[in-house]
Amino acid sequence: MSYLRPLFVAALALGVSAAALVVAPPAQAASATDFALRDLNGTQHKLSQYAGKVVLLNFWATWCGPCQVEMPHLEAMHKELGPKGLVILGISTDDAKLDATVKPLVKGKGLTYTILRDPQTTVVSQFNPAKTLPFNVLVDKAGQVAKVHAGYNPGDEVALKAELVELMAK
Amino acid sequence: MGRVVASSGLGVLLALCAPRPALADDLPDPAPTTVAPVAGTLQGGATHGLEEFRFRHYQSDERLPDFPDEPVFDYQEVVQRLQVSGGSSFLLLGAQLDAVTLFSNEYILDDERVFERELWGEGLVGPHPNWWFTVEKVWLQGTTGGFAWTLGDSYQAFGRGLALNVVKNTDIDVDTSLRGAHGKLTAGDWEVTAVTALANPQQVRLENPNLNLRADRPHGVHGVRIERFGRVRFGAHGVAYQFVRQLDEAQDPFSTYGGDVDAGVVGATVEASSVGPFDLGAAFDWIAYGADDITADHGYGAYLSASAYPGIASVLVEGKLYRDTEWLNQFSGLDGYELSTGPSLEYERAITEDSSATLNSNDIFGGRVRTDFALGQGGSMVTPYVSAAAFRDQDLGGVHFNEAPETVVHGLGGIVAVVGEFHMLANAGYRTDLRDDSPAANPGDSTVHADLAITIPLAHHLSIELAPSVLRYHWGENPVQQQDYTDFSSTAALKIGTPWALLVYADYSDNPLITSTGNVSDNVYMAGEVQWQPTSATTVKAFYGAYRAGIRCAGGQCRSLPGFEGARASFTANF
Repeated sequence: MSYLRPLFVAALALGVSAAALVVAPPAQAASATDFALRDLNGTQHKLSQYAGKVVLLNFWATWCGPCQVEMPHLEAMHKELGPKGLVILGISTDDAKLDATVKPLVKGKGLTYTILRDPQTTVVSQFNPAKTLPFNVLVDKAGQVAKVHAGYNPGDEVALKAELVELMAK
Repeated sequence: MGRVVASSGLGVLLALCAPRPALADDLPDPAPTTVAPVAGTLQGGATHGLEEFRFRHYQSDERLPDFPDEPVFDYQEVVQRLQVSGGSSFLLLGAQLDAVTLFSNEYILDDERVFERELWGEGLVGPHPNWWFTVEKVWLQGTTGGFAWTLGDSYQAFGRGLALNVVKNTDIDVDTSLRGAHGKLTAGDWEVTAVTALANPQQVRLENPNLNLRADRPHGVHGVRIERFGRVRFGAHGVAYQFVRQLDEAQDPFSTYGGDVDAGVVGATVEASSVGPFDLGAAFDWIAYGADDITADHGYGAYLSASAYPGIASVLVEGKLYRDTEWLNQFSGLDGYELSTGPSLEYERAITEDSSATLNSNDIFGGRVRTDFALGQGGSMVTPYVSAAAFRDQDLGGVHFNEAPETVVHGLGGIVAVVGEFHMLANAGYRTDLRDDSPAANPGDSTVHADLAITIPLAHHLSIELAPSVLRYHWGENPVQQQDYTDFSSTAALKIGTPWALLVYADYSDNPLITSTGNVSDNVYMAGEVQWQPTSATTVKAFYGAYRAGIRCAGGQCRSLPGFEGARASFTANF
């Protein structure tokens, strides 16, 4: 019997958690919080300056293996969909002590989409408090968060691209 | 004499309520933009949140000495974490609420109430000994024109992190923030940042056992930094620290402000892009100590970096010289976090109990060079790399095992290969720590390590992932311990589309310094897990088995984390 009560309470807590999500506003209704970050050349970018475009926010770090696996797929998407209006903002969450390692990795992988720095983890804490990496946020033309993807699995890039194309068509 | 499981006496669980100049001559220009007028920098109606739930049932094979039927640990833990933020046009309000509850954690022994685990530690006062709830973080952010400010919790880093580096690192269950006031004024290429705050470490651990939760030591952190961005980017900063020695829940945290300044840091950074073929960076910090219980008068840290990109290669060279920097973390280190972390020359996947002391190095000088080679383009890319580090560790005692200075040499190579849905990451290296006083026949410690992560697509929506890693450590002459050991970990995962994954974990370790015991044998740990992603933002996991204790590192920070045996379930959802 000693097992039953804690398991019941755990199940109850899980139910409460699920209920919390049910009553929470759906992701589609949330505006993407604006932010200002600098790229690797020091130029400041605001999310709001890309209003009217579909934006993919990709949070990553140099020490994150799955992030590096995902990068070539994002680069391919950038080359194909960038001319059609897609904006990819890769946001490096590496902290200040790893600053020197970011640009060599970006150059080494031949990434041409915009890379921003969030060394104080301010923006990643806002969009992705658990700091799961990689983490993708799809922002539609109206500045609404259309979808988020936590982590990366093989083939995820196919679904991600389809979702971006759908958003761009709207 | 009898052992009777008593009521935990707690029906309370957290009631959750979800609230409603273009200098890019070497990098591509940002994508063309359509700038929409937005008042302020926060859009109306912004709401983001995260709900995390963890249930853990701890059960060990180890038995109580006089009760062969009773395991030493047999209790449950429920952790709830809710983070939510919402804003209007100019303001953003956010909070993180944490609660932890222990069940079946107490019994009556000889008419005495006995706890298997003590949830409360020094300086903590709460309504029930098996429950703790706290508003872990709370913040109000605003932006007006070029001025952004925060009241409450924020994260701050100055320079390359040696002067100040308080950032979120949930990968190793560390989340210390600075609770106070922060402001940043941006005017063109210039930024001025100021902060005055008290350290606010995370009390409730999400992924690890909550034991002996302690009151915060509200260390005072006050600093200002001015920075100019451009082709040549430079900045200067100063930080003053006030360290709190005693844990005392009743203490007014603002009383820290009336105390003495224990350490002051002044520093500067310079970075220059495209100086000929190079990107260059330099950082220097000078630390003055002013407390009787800090034995050094001053310390310093210098760091240099240079990178170049000839052809398909990407070359990064780093050098550093640190002296007596550890006192900045002496008091926060008692609670398991750092206020200051400068660049390290270590490879964090091969950190051991010995080398962890040099990760956030104190008395170190040396350098590291790494070269990556980019082959392929688009969705297929192969990137091999080689790296070599050599440095001199002059710090002795404390968490260091050496009683004489040592020279460390570490060679490393690896590859990242992405070919369609086939992925492979591999790293292997050899490190030796040569102590000055070691005999020639057995000159020092050595570490051989390798890790691999490979994904093999089998069929449509079906793939296998294998991730083994091994580390073999050989001790040289050492006064602390003389036992070679092997650590091995592996994960095998069958992924069925995106929603489902079945994982099997196997660990082995005969390292006598780790605190866990295996569930298969003393040194062997096995576990299985099912993961389900019903939506792209929701993950459910169920785990049964054991994993070993050990050092875990992420983002250049490491923690010695406990092992686990039992069952656990987790639910994580972004909304």
